[in-house]
Amino acid sequence: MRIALCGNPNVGKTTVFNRLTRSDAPVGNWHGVTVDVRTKKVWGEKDVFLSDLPGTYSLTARTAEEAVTRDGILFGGYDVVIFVADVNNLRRNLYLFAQLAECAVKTVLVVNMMDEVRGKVELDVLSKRLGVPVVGTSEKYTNPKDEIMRAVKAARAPSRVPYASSAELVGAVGRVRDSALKNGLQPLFAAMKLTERDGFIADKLGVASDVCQASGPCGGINCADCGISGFSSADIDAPARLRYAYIDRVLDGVLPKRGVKKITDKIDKVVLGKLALPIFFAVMAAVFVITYQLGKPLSDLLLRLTELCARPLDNAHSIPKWAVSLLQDGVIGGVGAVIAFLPQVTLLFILTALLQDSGYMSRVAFVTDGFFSRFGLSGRAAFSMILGLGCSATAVLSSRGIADRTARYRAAFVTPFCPCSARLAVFTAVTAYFGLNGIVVAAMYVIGFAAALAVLKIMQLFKKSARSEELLMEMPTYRLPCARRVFSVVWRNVAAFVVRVGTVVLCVNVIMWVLSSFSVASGFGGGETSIMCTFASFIAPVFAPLGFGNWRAVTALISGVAAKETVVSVIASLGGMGEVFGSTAAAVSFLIFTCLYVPCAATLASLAKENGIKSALLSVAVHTVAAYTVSFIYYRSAMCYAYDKNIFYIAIAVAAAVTVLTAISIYAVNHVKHKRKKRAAA
Amino acid sequence: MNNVFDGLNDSGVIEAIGGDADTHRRLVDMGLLGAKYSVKARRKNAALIDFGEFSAVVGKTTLECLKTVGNGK
Repeated sequence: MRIALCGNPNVGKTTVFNRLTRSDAPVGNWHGVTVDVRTKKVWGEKDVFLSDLPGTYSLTARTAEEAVTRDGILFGGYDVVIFVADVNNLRRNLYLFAQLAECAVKTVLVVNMMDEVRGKVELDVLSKRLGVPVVGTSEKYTNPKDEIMRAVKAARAPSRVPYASSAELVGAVGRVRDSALKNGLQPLFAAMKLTERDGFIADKLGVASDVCQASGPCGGINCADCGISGFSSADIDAPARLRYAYIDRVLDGVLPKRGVKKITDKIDKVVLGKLALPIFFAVMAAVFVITYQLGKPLSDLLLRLTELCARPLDNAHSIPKWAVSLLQDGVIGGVGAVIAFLPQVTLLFILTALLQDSGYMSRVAFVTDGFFSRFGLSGRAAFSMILGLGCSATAVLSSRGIADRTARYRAAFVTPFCPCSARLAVFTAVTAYFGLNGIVVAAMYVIGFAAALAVLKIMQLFKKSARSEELLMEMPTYRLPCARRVFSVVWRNVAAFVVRVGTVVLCVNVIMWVLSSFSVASGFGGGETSIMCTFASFIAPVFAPLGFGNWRAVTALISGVAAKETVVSVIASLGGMGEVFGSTAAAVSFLIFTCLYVPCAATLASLAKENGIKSALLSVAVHTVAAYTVSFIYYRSAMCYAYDKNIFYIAIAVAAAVTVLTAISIYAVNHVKHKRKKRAAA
Repeated sequence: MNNVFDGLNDSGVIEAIGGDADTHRRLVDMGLLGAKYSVKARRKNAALIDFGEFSAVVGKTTLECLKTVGNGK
């Protein structure tokens, strides 16, 4: 048996999925967490598979993720659909349910978040009126798996919707009956969608010519599509009016009277008021300060533990020298250097998970919307960028929720500029060794975001967005973060980090150790004649103007393409920071380069999946040029004033300022061009 | 009757929905036709609007598609 799980965004579908399959898929108090179909066997059931579909408001798809759900419901061939609805939003949620009823899909209604409603919800009455089994659930209740599975076994197609027998619809249904059935669609559903001018259904039934193809208003007196702009859309709104009238009748007396969302309103008044942007920056600053300052003592402790672990090998005379070196430098030293930053990475994950679960993350889209609109994006792009602080690869995939294709392409393209948690490990390791404080780490984030904005502005110069993206995004209510959900998110991310360290980082580190410890001529102990040294020395002069033109730094950078954490581990196994960097200025220049250069292989794969191979290749070029340019500016400025001991901070500020100024100047050029064009047109 | 962004009314009822076919469909699907609204916060290009059952961030261009009847508040 194949079951689909569907519903509006942010109603708790994935939470139900996790409880039914005993899995740990990502969940969050904001829309767009699920962007693709996830299928798993229902726990304790034989041959019963559950697919979690992305959230949608209607079977008329507007974004790529909504199209996935539409295709799944209409053509996926699922035996039963579990429709998850939020009890706080039942009227709007049942709109999609009405469309399932039109499709005559076997359905079970799961009314979620029952703990948040005050008073009794008449689920039995609802079940009788809709003609399907109804189950009430909440994350705080016991696992409803057995109840839901009982309902699945009793599932049936919803009662015939009353508007199906209206005179107008009967005629329309009769006209499309044959072509609808031939294409695997229910005639009632097809007739409703055609009335709504659904281009996909029209294409399917071969009646696309009925839909106006003009890019702007065509001027046709009887054109319903273009007529919408003039608020004269009575006929195409008829299906929606019929569905909502039906839902209102179904819900009559089912729900208790609603209270006012007092807490959410009060918090929004402050958080989204005049101080919205300062509050947002303060929150983000607090995240970084806590991550860096609180995690530092723990990181130091772990580093010392790693050293202690490697010490007994000093006296292991019976083991060959190369094996001691492999274990000390390649395995314990390298992997330990990355694991030492686990406390900071964990803190970052905890804080971002708290922000997501509380409902604040969704508000960020609103707060930053005005800012991002100057760069051709909406506030929705802020999601991807903030998620990029954790893992760039998943953040790139999250851009799928952006409706406008150009905006989606751009958001995915610039997201890898936002420093991920793996880069944080590099920043922290280098700054800790050279005794630099948290300002340097903060500067790296400023540089990363400024570079992203500069690239966005440059992209706007080449191609203007066809239209600015429409932003209509539902805001979740504020909730006290649920400890179980936060723990689940943090656990998944931390586990992924540790697994990456134990697999990719370890493998790359061992390979790099072999290549840098053996030479073709003299075997082990190659050092300056090693295979890696010979190869990296060819490239090293390119990096000389940036202050780290030596083979060790180049080796670390090359390994970072596999996973950014390996930069730290390879440096550790090649003799440590002192061997790799000649000065603090060179180390900071290296940090800037690491902050901006080529994304890791996983991120490039995500980018290729979302935007195509060309975009991934372009990303490699753009990141390399950006990294080289900013590092060069920084290092050259640092060298000019090398006698000043505070110069490193000043130089970082210079580099950050230059990046920001570049972004502003590109913006200004663009603005002037636009004004000139406008004047010329006038 | 006025547009939401004219700023005269912070609350009222959405009487009709315009916009391109795509936007129109989404707004109607979300149950905004005939819905009561109140503007909770405004930005240059967007506003946070409470539609009773739910709140949503609505872009300025989308807001211009909403024909409203204000309650004079």
